[in-house]
Amino acid sequence: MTTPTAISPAPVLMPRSLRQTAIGILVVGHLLVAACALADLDRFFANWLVLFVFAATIGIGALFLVALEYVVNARWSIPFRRLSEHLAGLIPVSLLLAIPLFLGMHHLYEWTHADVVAADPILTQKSAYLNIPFFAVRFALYYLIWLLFYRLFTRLSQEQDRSGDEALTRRGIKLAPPFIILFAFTMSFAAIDWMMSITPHWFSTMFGPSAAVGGIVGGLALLTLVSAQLKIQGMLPERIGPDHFYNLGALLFGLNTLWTYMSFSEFMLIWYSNLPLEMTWYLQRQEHGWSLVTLLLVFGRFVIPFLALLSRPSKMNLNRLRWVSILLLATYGLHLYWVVLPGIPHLHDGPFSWMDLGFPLTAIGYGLFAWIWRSSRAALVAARDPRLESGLSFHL
Amino acid sequence: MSESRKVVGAVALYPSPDALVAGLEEARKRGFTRLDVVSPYPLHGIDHLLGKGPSKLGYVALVAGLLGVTLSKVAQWWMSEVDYPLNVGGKPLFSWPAFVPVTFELMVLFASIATVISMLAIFNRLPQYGSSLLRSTLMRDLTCDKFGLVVDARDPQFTSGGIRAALGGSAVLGIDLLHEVRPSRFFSEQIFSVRFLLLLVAVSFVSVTATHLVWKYAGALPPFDFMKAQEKLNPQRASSIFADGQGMRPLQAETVPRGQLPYRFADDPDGAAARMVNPVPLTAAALERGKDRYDTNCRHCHGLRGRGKGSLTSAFPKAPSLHGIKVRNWTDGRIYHVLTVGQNAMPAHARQVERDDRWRIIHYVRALQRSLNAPDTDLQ
Repeated sequence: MTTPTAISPAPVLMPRSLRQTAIGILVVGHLLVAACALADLDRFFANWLVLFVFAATIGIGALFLVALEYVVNARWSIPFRRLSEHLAGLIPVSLLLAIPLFLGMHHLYEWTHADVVAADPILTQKSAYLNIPFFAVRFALYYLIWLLFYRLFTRLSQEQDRSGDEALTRRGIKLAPPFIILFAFTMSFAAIDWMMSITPHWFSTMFGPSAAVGGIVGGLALLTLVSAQLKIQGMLPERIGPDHFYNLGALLFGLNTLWTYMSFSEFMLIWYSNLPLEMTWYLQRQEHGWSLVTLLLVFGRFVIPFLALLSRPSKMNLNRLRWVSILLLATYGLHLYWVVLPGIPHLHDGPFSWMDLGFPLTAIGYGLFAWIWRSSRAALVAARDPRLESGLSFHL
Repeated sequence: MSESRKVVGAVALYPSPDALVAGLEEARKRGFTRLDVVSPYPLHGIDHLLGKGPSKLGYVALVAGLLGVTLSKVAQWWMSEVDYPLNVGGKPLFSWPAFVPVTFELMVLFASIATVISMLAIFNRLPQYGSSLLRSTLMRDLTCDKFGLVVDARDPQFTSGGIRAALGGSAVLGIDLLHEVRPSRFFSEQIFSVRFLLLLVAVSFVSVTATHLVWKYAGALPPFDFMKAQEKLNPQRASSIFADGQGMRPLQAETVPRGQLPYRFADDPDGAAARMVNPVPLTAAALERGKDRYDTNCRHCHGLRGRGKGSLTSAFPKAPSLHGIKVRNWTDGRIYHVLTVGQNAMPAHARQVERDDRWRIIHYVRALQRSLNAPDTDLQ
């Protein structure tokens, strides 16, 4: 029964033009980024942090989708799983991107300055957690966990390309629950370390969970974009049809609404209690033109995608899925920009500058780089997964 | 089941959705048009194969959801901005972020109720007290793991004799003719039958009693009473929150409560008469409020029109009329002095009536006086 899938387990080489485009984008992006670093070092490090978090969380979100499929024993997503595994290649790439972050900690985090901490009783109390050695230890721990599971999941799947052994699927099912539990903790703490500690007096218990869900939405949006693009170019099996894409779109719709729900709950409780300590974080994002970014996020990250994916046929429409995913990825980056920049004293003066232009370009470049690297290692579909046939024959 | 009843259709049983789809396409090829499908779970895309357009139910949900959003916003605006304005922590009266959860819930509630009701009433044409399909021996399989194709007898291709042959195929597990349903013994076709209404009354009685008992007894048990039983400050009650055991707190030294500035003319009625003017502008709203406060605090002694004919006059010393020449010639400040510190048997009203409300009462008293003793200029 499982033999008629004539899908080759050999990797599909991406066209040369894609590689040239990636190199071109990276070169131009890095030139603009270097110009930003020369003009304003604070701005460079803040934008670089956005770029780093964007890449890392999307990679981990993609890995989460792999684990999710194992843990709920989903069939429809099996044809897409290899694409998620490829996208999780952003995790090792993001480790590369973390180097400038460590060089620029003094520009980003006020708790790294001993004199500021000594003069501030609250920061002195928090210094047991917020100090550079412990920050580095936690950072290493997160990456140890993520890279370990990244390696386990991708190797298991590629081994199956050779052997077609069902025991490997069972191993994935065993690995997934511990990863999901660790994912919840590491994503929460990473969000607190990297982004919340920019404003070290402020805290919100929803910050970590909504960052974790934001990463999953980012990973899922990139997966949707890549799979819709490949389908349009005819690089995916014929039998991946509208029903598969409907599920992808429905999951994207649901998870993005969940993210909005969490973010709005966070905002509403803080707005309602109106405590000076908590409210300042949102007030910072409502002045000096940042309210424009806030509005862009409300519409670009919720209202427009929500309406665009509300009807049933729209979730099967590949072009619709493609532009909604691009919009969601762009606004996810914008959201991280909105979280990071206003917290840094002189960047608070206003959003958007020519200096920011290089960073989205660089992000696209590194994304293409990760994609070309991963897709040269394994096929686009887990061709010899014993459950692939049932995944391909999925109908709503 | 007697065969004398009218045949209204036939049902064919299939083992799987794929077999059903094949049978459906076959039947449509043979020219059947009045077809329907019975399935234990939703079969996506079957509407399309039946030749039906997409369901209209989504539009019902959309319209009802939008109606819920609109109604909840209007209701919350009216309640908190118009009917009962309440200042909560200095926020705007109509604080939309705080109202989003209620709006969301009402949207879901309206959409789901409208969807269920319209599905049953419009699309499934309920209430019906029985269906010919329910009497079929195949129904047990149809609610479990088999799939049915139903042909209506009004279909031009339908004949009682020929339908078995027309629907028959290798995949078909069984075919049954469907007969007209007669009203059951207990439930007639009429919704307002005596038995049905009696049943309704019995069900309401049982559920109301159960609800009452649960509220009365279970609600008073922990943990359901935690909110009610928690330590809190109540006026006129003892409290263990403060060391002295008092719930009502004495004023802090050197402080003035908001809206209660100390009265400077307590022993100086002439100073009050000479040096105070009514600070509240004479407006319709001020008069309205003054009338309200007068009716609450003054009317029981001074009477509805201020003539000293209040409802308490037999039990207390008679209160003077406010239309006497003395009170008419008093300045507003002098009347304010009486309201604030009292006079003879009349106690001070500074505690009951806020400062500005006392001035509004004076506006109202002036209006009463003018109603009985209008100056000549009013009549011109």
